[in-house]
Amino acid sequence: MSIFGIELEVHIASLRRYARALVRDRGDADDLVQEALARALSRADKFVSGTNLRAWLFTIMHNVHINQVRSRAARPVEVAVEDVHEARMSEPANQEARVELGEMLRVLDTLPAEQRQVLLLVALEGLKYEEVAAVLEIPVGTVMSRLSRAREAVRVRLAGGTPAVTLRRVK
Amino acid sequence: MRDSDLHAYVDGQLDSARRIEVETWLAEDEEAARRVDAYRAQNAALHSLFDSVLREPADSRFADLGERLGQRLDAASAPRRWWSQPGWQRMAASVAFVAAGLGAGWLGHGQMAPLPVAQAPAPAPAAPTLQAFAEEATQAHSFYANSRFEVEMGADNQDALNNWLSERLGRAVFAPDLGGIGYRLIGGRSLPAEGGAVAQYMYETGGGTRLTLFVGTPKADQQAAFSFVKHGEIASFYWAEGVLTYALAGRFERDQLMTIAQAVHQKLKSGPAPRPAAPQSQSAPEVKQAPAEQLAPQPPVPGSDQERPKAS
Repeated sequence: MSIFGIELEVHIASLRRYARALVRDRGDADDLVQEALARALSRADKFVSGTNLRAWLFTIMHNVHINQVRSRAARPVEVAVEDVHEARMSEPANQEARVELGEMLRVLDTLPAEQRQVLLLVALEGLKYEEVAAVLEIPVGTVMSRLSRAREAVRVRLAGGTPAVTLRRVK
Repeated sequence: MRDSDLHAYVDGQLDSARRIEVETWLAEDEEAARRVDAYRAQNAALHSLFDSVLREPADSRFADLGERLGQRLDAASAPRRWWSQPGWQRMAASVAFVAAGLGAGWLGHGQMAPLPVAQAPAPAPAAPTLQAFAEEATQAHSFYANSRFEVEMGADNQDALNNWLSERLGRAVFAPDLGGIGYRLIGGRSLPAEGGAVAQYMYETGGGTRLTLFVGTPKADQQAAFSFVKHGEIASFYWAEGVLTYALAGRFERDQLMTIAQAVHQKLKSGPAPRPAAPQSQSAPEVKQAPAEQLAPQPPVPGSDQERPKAS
C-alpha cells in the first residue's frame, strides 16, 4: 500500500465527479480521468513532496481537458448530451426535486465554460480559491469574478427571472 | 463588505472573525441573505446531481492507475515512505544490512560496497517487534497530524467510529475519553499494516497540540512493559495489553508523554466511558497529580473542550 493510497483514492473519486459534471457523458468523463492519471503517472517524479497533491492532479486533468476540447472542436458532431445524461441521472425522491435538478443541469449548460469550471471546482469539489487559481492558472481575483458571475447567472435563471438589475454591494 | 466575502462565507473559506462580521451583515441585509440561500441551494443541487458518481463501483483501470501512481509518488518522495514495507521486512532488511556490513568490513573505510539487500534470502516472517510497531506509530503521527486528511472518520459519532475501527481490526477497540487531561477526540483512521489493519485515533488540545493513539494486533513475543522510543521530534510510549498493542505518539518530551500514557492506560483499562459526560472520578490518580502545564503548551481546561464545535 502506498502512503498516498488513501489520499489518492479520495482524489480520484473527486476527479471523476468533476469530470462527469464537466463533460456529462460517463464514457468521456472516465476517459478524461484515465488520461489525466496516465499523464500524472508519467510525470510523478515532478511532483514535489509535501505540496498540494489534489491541486496538482486537477491541474493535470484541466490541461488534458483543454487539449481534448481543442482537438474535438475539429470533429463534426457531438452526442446529444442532454438527452443522454438525463436518463442516467440517479432517480431523485420526488417530482419537484427532479424538476429543480433538471433545471440546474440545464442552467449549468448555459454558462460559459470558464465560469462553469470555476463554479464546479468551488461548489462541487470544495477547492480553495487559491487552489482553483493554481489549477486554472488565473489570478484569484479572476476566480472570484467568474464565481460571482456564474452564481448570479444561475440564481437569476433558476428564479425564471429576467437578468435584470441584481443588487450587489460593492463596499 | 465585499461580494467576495459573501462567496467565501458560503464556501466556508472565511476565518471565524470574518465569518461573524459577515453574519452580522447578513442579519441586516435581506438581499444578501437571499443570495447566500440561493448559492447554498446551488451547491446542494450540484451535489445531488453528481455525488452519485462517488458511489459508483470504481473502475478497475482507476484502481490500477492509482496504485501505480501511488508507487511512483512514493519513489519520488522516499523519506515519507513508511508503510510501503511492513515493519518486519524493514527490520529484516536492516539486519541484513548490518550483517553484510560486518562481512564486508575488510573492504576498508570509505568504500561502500553495494549491498545486495534485495537479493538476501527472504527472512522468515519473524514476529514484528513492539519497537517496530511504535516506530510506525511515530511515522504515522508525523504524516497525519498535519495532514489535510488528518482523519478518515470524525468523532461526531464515536460509536460509529469505534465500531468501524473494531471491524477493520477484527477486535473490539475504542477511543478512551481523554477530556480529563484536556484532549478532545477528533476522529480516527485505519491504516494497513503487516498482520492486519491498525487504528489511529487522533486527539487535540484547545491549543492545537495533537496526540495520536495507535492500536494494532502485531503478534509480538514481548510483554507489556511500558517502553519509550523517540524518532526525530516524535516521541512514543508503547505497551501491550492482551492481544492489543498500543503506541501513543506526539511531539512531547519523555516526561510529558509518560504522564499522558499513564492516563490513557488507566482509561483503557476502565473500558469505554459512558457518554456524553464521563465522570471525573474515573480519572487516573497519576493524572490528578500531574501539573497541567506538563501536558500541553497551553494548559487545557478539563471539560471545556466538550462544547467546542467538532473539527470536520
